[in-house]
Amino acid sequence: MQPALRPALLLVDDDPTLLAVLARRMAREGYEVLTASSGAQALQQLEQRWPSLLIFDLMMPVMDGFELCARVKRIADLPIIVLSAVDASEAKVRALEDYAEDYITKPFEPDELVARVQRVLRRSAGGHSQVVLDGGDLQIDLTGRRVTRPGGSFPLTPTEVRLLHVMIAQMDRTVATDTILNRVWSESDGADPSYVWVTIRRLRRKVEVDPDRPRFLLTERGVGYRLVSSTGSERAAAE
Amino acid sequence: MGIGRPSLRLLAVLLAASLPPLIAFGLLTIAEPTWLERVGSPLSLLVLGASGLLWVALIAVAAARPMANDARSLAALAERGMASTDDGLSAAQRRLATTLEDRNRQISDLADLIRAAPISKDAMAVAHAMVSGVRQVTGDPTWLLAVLRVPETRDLEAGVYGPNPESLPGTLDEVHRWAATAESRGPSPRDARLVGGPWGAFTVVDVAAGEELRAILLAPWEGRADPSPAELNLFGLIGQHAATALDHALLYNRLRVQTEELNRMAAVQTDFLRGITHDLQTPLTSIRAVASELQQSKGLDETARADLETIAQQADRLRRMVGQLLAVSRLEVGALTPVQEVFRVGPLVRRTWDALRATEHRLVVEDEGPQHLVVADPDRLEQVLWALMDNAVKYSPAGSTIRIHLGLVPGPAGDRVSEIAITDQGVGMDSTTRASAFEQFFRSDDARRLVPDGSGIGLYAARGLVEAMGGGISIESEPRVGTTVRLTLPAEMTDDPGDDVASQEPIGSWADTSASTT
Repeated sequence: MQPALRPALLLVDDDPTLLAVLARRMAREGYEVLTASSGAQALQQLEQRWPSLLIFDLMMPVMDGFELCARVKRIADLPIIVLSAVDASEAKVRALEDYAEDYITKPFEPDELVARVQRVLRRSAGGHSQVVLDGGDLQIDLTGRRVTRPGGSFPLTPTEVRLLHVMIAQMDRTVATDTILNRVWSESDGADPSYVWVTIRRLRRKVEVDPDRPRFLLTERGVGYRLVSSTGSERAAAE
Repeated sequence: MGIGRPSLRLLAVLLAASLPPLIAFGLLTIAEPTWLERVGSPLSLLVLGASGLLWVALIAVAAARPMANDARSLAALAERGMASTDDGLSAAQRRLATTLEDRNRQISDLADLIRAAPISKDAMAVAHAMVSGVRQVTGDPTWLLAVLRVPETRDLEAGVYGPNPESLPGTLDEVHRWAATAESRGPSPRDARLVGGPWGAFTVVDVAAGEELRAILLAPWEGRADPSPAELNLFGLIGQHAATALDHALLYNRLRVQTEELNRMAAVQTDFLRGITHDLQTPLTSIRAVASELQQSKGLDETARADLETIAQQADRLRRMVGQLLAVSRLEVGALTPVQEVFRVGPLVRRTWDALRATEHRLVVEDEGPQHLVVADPDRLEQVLWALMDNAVKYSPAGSTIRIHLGLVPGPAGDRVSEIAITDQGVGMDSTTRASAFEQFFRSDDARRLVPDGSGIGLYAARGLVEAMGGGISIESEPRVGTTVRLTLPAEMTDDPGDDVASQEPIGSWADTSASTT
């Protein structure tokens, strides 16, 4: 990683020990690290410069993570990772999904945080958070982890989101099963092509109105899979 | 019809009077046929007989006249008497019918009132409803309810109640004072009485329920007719039902208060758990981060590395315990929503075993084959497996084997589900322990003896997590032989022919099928 391109992270946590430890770790990973011990301090920092990514604790005195999240997003659409604690019930965390790209529950391994940071930065570089296919027949919300189609709206699992990221990056092109396997299951041991088959099958139940006759997530037999941006043009081409 | 009987009697008297001379004449003629010649000619005899008959008739008529008069007057009297009884009876019947009708209507109103008494609301609302009901039933808009003494509850106060909270009279205190003296006087509960008060006469109906509630219904009775016994009776009835309705409301509310209290205590417990867990989370993250950072630094001697390894291990153990507490507190508030990923269990089992660092036990994994993937939250399942393996290790002797069998079994819905069976050669459990094994904070005597510092939430959390993932958990165990814990979880087949629809389709088949259907 070239020094000039070092992404900057803004770390916000009211616990000075954790703040110092995480800052050191992230610096060692090659990031430029800014720190703040409160929401107000973080907003001050943001007035001077925008980092590539914000990481902050949900439970902070005075201004909690929810408020900080909302205020940051009013200033700029920066990717955010929230460090949530026990008080963040799942319902609250889901409410955060509107703002935060990812969240991680304390206590966590620093390695886990590094992996998430890399993933979020990679994704935000891709620039896709919402994808609308075929004139709105299918809406994929990668940040909110949800697909909406005629007949319902379905939550996506983290794995399904990763798979869709891969497919969206290669929209209308066939992606080999092995490529999907390597990109989506890089951190899992023992993954094999059946993981891809089964995940695609489950994903089709959410994405496709008729999973047995897929319109969007097509199989290229013996090669891999293809996400189709417009089924109308596909039909025209086929005919 | 009244005349018939006296006229018959008259005829009977005439006949009776004429019979003796006729019989005497007949007997004389039979016994001495010649007496006629001796007395005179038959003509003179006939004249004599006829005059005798006439005499008898005259006597009879003279005697019968008063009797006939009597009979006539008696008949007239009887006729008159019958008519007047009919009049009186029908009037009485009409009155009775009206009263009964009124009474029935009042009783049905009362029944409606009792049915409508909002027992589930607070007792105060019931008191107001009772007053408006009583006003409706009696047709008297002046009734009030004076509550004199109440049990210890938050929702009914001593005081005077009108039909709604806004319609209370201005002299509440006075009414209440008076009502209190009425109470000190009143000997018989549930009795309707007419009592004198500072502003004249009142109808007072005692409302006494249980030992704690005492109230009276009262209405001014000035310038009215005295209430009939039936009315007082009805007031008494109303009083009884008012008492019952109030009593039910109070009981209901007491139960509600107790339930709220229990819920509050449960919430306090959950909050406490969450608070403690939260306090542990942040420092634990720091410890682990520092330890892992130090482990990567160069120039450490062996002892330092070993110590760091211990710190990392213990911190990991602590992290898992915090994770269990976290899961428990989320289960308590129903906020646990696991993701549904698909993966193979085998690698997760081995990884979890490695994290346990159970060097004194042997693990044997029997994997039936790769024909399915489990549908579960990998982090949650790891948590469950860790807790179950940790138990297996803790409660079985060093050197023993822990066997984990992975396979497919028939599920409850006729489908096939993934089964993970963890078998140890440990102390086992008796049936009593097994029955309580999934309870929160439950620890058997064996558990306390063998593992004094356990928390008793491992199996509780495990069951909650597995069920949240749509699976099930069960225990088979025999003391001194060992325990098998079976987990079942939803599965996806990888060898299902319908699995990868398009893998059986030619390229471009979508357009073909679509064209054939459209």
